[in-house]
Amino acid sequence: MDPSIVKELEAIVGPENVSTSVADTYVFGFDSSIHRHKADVVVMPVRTEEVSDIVKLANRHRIPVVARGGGTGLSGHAVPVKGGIVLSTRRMTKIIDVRVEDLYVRVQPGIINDDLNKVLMKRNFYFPPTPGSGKVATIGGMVANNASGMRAIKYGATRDYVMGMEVVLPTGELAHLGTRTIKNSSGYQLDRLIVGSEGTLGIITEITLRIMPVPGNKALVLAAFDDLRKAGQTISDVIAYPVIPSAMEFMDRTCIDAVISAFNVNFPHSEAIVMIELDGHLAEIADNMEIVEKIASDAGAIEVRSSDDPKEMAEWVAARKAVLPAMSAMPNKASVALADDMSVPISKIPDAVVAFHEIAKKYDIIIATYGHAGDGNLHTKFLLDVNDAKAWKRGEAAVGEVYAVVNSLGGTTSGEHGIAITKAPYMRKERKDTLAAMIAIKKALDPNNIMNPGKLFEWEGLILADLRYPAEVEEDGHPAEGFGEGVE
Amino acid sequence: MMAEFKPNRLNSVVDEMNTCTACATCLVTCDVFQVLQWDSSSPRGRVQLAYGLYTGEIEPDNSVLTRIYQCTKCGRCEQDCPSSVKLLDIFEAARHDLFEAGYRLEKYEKFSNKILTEGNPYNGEEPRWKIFGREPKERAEVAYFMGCKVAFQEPEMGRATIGLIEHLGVDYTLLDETCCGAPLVNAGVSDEEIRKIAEENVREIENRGVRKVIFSCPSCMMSFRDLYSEFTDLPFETEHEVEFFQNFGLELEHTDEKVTYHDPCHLGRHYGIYDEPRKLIARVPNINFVEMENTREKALCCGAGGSMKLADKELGIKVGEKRMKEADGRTVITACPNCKNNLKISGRVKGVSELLYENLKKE
Repeated sequence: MDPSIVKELEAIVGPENVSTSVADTYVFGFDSSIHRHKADVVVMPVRTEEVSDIVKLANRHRIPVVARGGGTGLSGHAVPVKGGIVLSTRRMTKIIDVRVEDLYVRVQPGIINDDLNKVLMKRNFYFPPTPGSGKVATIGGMVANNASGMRAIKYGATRDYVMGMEVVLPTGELAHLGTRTIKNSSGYQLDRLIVGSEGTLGIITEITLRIMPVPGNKALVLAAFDDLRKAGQTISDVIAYPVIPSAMEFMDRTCIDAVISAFNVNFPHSEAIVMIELDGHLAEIADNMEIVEKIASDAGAIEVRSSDDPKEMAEWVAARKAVLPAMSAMPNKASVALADDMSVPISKIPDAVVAFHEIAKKYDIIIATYGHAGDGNLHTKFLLDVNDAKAWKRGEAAVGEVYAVVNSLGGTTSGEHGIAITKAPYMRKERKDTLAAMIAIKKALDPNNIMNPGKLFEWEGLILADLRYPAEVEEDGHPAEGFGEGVE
Repeated sequence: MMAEFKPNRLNSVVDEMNTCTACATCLVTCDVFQVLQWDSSSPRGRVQLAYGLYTGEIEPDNSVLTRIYQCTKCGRCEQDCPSSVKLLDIFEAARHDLFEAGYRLEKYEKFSNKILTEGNPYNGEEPRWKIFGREPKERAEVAYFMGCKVAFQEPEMGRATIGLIEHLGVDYTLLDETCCGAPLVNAGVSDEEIRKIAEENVREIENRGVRKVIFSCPSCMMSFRDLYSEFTDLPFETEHEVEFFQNFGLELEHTDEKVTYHDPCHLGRHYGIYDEPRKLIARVPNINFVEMENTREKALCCGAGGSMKLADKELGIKVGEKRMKEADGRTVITACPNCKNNLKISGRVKGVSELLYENLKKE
């Protein structure tokens, strides 16, 4: 990085908020994905004007700018693949205005999801999307990625709560998108364009979010099955009844066995477990609980348990959350973020899971599947020997087949984790008839291509690039093996 | 002299580094990260730096050294890690390999040299027992291993502990002790040097026929229990003073002092000793005790662990200030001389033994 540019950055945000050190430029090249690439300089602005000045400077000198929130992206969103400036929003954490009477809150992008909710809950309100990383994920990152979580079936994703935002465009100009009103039919919904744009169209510096009253009571129904299709039947029948649960979580045998073996969790040994969370008034919960129990039993559940005891419910939820540590406890294998959050139509979950099991067998890798069955969003955990280049190549081939299945079932590449690098080739394939429009929008807003360049439709390479693991995986110049072929 | 960096010990923690999913859960409760806010100062960041050193992608320059040593080794990250990664093993391996290759922060080097040549890092010239006016006995049932911090920086804690032991009529002795070696591990000094220290301290205790050693400093106790046992058998029991004093009745005066308790990381999180100090505090009649917001497993760090203040004194003080805010003006009682030493910069602090000793009923 040209020292004169570093000096200019220091003049904008103060020298204490700029670093070109070996340690900082290296670490800010990682997020929670499998990739990493060194940054040239890291800046931590506090105010919108500073962000604007940084972007103007970058645009003038054609330097890439990569915005970074909590650094919890699973597909490489915050990895500066072309080097340049990493702009961390860690110091932009203000809650500007809480307006419960108008159902909105205005925040800076660096505020952490759970920190915001702690404040809102004092007023009996909250921001409903609940990503698993809510303790560390920032609202700016969630908006840029359209993140969501286990309660999307009833409460939607981040995009459903974005009313408006302030954005520094790639030229450094400030734009106010959307409104602070519940309704808005005034022209293009440009705020929606920024949601999920993964930092490629501008840097979000303020967000107006819709907020909701905290739901009252909760109960859980846990149903275990000896057959994946019976679990799938239950999920579909609950929704078609209709009962819309606040969450409906799914675990396959690989996950169930792992949590039982690692933590002696009191779950039935079975092919699948579905955990259904109901919320609302007590009478409504009681009615729905009875309906859900009957649906699960009729579908052939081998065991159905219900609880409204907070302690017992917390134990069940903890057991579900224990999937990751249980997987990590497996010797000589590490859990890697590959094909980790596909979404399929809800009724297609059993077909998808059966196919994933076959793919895992074919490529001799472990694929554990769990996720938010209520909204069709599955998480597959790939377990590999990360020191072994061949294991990575088998994993890559399996990823191709997984997405082929997902597409053939009418699903989508990413439900909530976004595209960035790891899923770019598959998103390009899935959205091939909209790529031209995406590229045109990008060119119109970011003529010098400085905003998070090289991601989404621009990612040219294969997915095993810039790996943050020891294996040296050679790119063989061919797209992922098996891509495009469905698995019956 | 700087040699070529070789990831000798980092080689043994590659699986741990690979298991880290970089989920960032550790950022939430890392007191150092919460003060600095640079991702590179978080446990996840340190794992990544260790990885960069292991692969040779980064040079161990001053920025890398500083980040690696900006850690109090409080263990909160390990406790909270969803993948049960042994983070402290990674950090210690990085420090070890850096130190071995001669990549050393100046203060750690000086500190370590002092310990290796003088037996303590604080310019203490006379034997510790002399400070307290008690010569070691040839044989005794119990030995009090006071540690460098008590002897040379927090002698009031030592006086109180000795006072209580004597009040209880315990057959005890002080020791010709040398630094326990914990600061050397923090610096990254080689096992061979630490083995020598372990053998020296163990021999000194063994020769006096001691059956039980008691400690004021949880880090010293940790050296004996976790570190020395790797090199040598311990032919005696080890107990922290808050465990030891449980076994004795104490007649105490009333006090209306407003107090709270700070859990030292090495005593609480590492050994699960949470109840014993609280039970001792509760023995003081009428004492006005209120817990801090974050206690026991969730206790914040004092800021002095891991010899971190050698790398960044100001950071250590800031972490301590954050902890003391939770005391809300109350006297903080603790069970570690290191914690006391750093926390007292930001408020009133005393050891459990001091609280008990000053409230002993006068005969």
